[in-house]
Amino acid sequence: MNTETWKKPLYFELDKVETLAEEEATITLDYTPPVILPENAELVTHNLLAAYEAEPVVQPNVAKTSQSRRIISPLWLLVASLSLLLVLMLLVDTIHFIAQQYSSSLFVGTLFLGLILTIVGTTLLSSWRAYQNLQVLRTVSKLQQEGRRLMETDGYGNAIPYLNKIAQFYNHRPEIKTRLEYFYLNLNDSYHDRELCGLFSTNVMKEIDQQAYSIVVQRSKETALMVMISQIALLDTVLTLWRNTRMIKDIATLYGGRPGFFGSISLMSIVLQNLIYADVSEMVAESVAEIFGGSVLSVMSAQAAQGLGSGVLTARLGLHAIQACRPLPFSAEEKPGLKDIRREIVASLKGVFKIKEAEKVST
Amino acid sequence: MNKWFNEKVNRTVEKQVKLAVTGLSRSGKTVFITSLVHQLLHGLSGSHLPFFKMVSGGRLRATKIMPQPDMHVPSFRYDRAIEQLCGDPPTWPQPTNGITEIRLAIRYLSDNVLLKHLSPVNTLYIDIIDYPGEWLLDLPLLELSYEQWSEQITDACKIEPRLSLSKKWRTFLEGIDIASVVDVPIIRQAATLYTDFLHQCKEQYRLSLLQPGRFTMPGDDLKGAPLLEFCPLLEIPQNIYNENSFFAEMKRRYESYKKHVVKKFYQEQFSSFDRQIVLADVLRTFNTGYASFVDMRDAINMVLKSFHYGKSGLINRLFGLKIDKILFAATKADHVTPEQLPNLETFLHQMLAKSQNSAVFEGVHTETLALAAVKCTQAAHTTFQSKKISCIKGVPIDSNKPIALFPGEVPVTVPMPDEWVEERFHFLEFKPPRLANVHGGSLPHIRLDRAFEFLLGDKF
Repeated sequence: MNTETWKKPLYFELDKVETLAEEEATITLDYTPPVILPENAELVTHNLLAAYEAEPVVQPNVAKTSQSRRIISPLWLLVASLSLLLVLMLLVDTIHFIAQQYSSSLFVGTLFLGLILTIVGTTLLSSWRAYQNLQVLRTVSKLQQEGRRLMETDGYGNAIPYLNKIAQFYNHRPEIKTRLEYFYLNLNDSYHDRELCGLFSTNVMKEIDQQAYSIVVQRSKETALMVMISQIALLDTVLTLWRNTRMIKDIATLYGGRPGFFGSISLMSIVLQNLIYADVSEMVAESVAEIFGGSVLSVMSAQAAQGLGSGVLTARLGLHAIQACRPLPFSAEEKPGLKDIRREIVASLKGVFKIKEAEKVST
Repeated sequence: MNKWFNEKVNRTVEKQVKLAVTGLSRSGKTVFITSLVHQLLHGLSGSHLPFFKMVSGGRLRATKIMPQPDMHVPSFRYDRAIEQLCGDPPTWPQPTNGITEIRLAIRYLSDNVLLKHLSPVNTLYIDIIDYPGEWLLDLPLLELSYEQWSEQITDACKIEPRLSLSKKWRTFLEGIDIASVVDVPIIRQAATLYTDFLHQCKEQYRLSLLQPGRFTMPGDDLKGAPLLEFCPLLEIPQNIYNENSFFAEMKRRYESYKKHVVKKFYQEQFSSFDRQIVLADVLRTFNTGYASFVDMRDAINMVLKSFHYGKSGLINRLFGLKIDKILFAATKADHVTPEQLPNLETFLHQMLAKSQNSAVFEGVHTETLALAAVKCTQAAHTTFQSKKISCIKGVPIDSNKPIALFPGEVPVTVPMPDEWVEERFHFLEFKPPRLANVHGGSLPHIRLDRAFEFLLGDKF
């Protein structure tokens, strides 16, 4: 069929067309008693299934062909044979080594064998886990790419299968499930992909966003307080690392997926920045205290500033983590900002500052 | 004086919006206003306005129809219109033949950081006016002298389909000596022939640019008045100084029409708007052909020229209000398949590019949107020649059985005249949907909430 005929009007048999299930309820077309269109019932069930179908009806098979081409590419063959060679050499070497040990003593041989088996076992296990994680990573970054494309173009009809895939992340959570049901119930068949993504974002994702936001606020406050109170630079670094990794993990679990490859690289670089900051700012705080003669107030304010800095950096990391883990990308106006978090951290620091000062004065 | 002052103050603190619903005849003004009133009245029940942030954010308290400020203007009969829409069988509301007005009061919770504490619950008044679209075309007359106007009409009558339709009237005019002393029956005869010509343009070719507007839609108060009995002249005589000549009398009547009909209408209703929506039924022109399209494009662009645009700064608000936001809307968006909506918007954008450009130049925010005030079709899809194709399901206006069709592709650019072939478009008119529970619920619509958000969103 050429595209020319598509431009002309076409008429269809009524029972051969399918509609969005929810629309049937809002608009009734038959003007005679409602038994007239018996195909209605059939359409409803059929479409309800379609609404919760995870995979889109038409899957482009571009990815598949490129994958099969990659398998037979010479570079891949080279890498595969080289790694096989490496593994074989290692194996042969190890067997030689163990055989040598056995020949000298049974006990030493068994000891080495056990050790090597343990190492190999742990490595295999951890790589299997890493592989599993990688699978999850891939889903999120792929979803994000798809979402970004949907929100940038003026398309129609592709958003529902995409949103169904995201909905699967949250189907097991009761509080989000009700929101999902509400979202599906209020669909309109004229919504475009961009509108649907926006609606999903405000109706469903907002709940999760708020939870993630409160996690970020909580962890930032904790980091700020700990860094402010502690006096040792090494401890600051360890505390920051602990809180930061904990926060990323919490956010990832909340959104039901981990950040993609590039996402985690950018997150890691921010974590490193935070660690360096925690280290350097401690030294600055110490020198400031020396300059000002170690008076209570100056040490307190320097430490408070340091705490605030760490807190804000953690908050920044948290917001990045939210963006990296959220399967549906944020639209320009939805992106969460640092402003409010900073205010909350300052408020919490002020509270502790007052308590601590009062303690110091009383002692 | 006190009333005037109160009104100005109210508008200065943004408690009142006057919304101009502009559109040529049959572009869906009445249905739009009815749906707007209905959606806002039922804003609390259901979630039919997800993109209207004030409502979807839960800040709406309630909406109520209020007594209108102008007592001499008839009320917009929302109840009657909704009764027709929701009757059994449902029908579209009657075309408007006079001016009507409605005022809505919206109670809402303020989102403003300052106002939240000062006055948490606020009221916004929205005034909307409904009038026959034909009358809009009188506005451009304000800037034209009788001679200029006659020249415009004469030029338009040189091209088909006006050339053949105006034949009777033109031959009659050619038989009159316009320098001679005036004879009232002849003037009446000429005016009747001209009015017949306008009616034919409207009915046979669905042309829009029909001036003067009151000839095709006189309104109740003017039927038979002498100022409706004149017509343009084909040739303007160069030197006639006779006050009693045919030409002089025609000119007098034209000027009096301008003064007593057009200016009055403009000053009372059109000079004080601050938001405007321009409705255009683009699809109808696709069906009727290139001539009708060009006519409609010119008509809308001509009308829009008569509005004052400019920023509504404080000074402007106190001393003459100006429109600061215009929404260009392609109505009846439910008559095309949903994936065609961007095309429809692009097409309208191009059609009104001239007006939009001059509005933007004056600092006015504009947007183009395809909407359906009352959605009367369902989007559907089917497999046609082993390919998935989108289509719509609805009941055509002249039938009782629903049909499914793919009505044709909306072009992104204006097709060339020879591409406007007979079977290319088939945008059917549909009957309104049959709604079970309309008094408790909302009307189905397409993108009406986005229109509200653009037009009113910043007022809350």
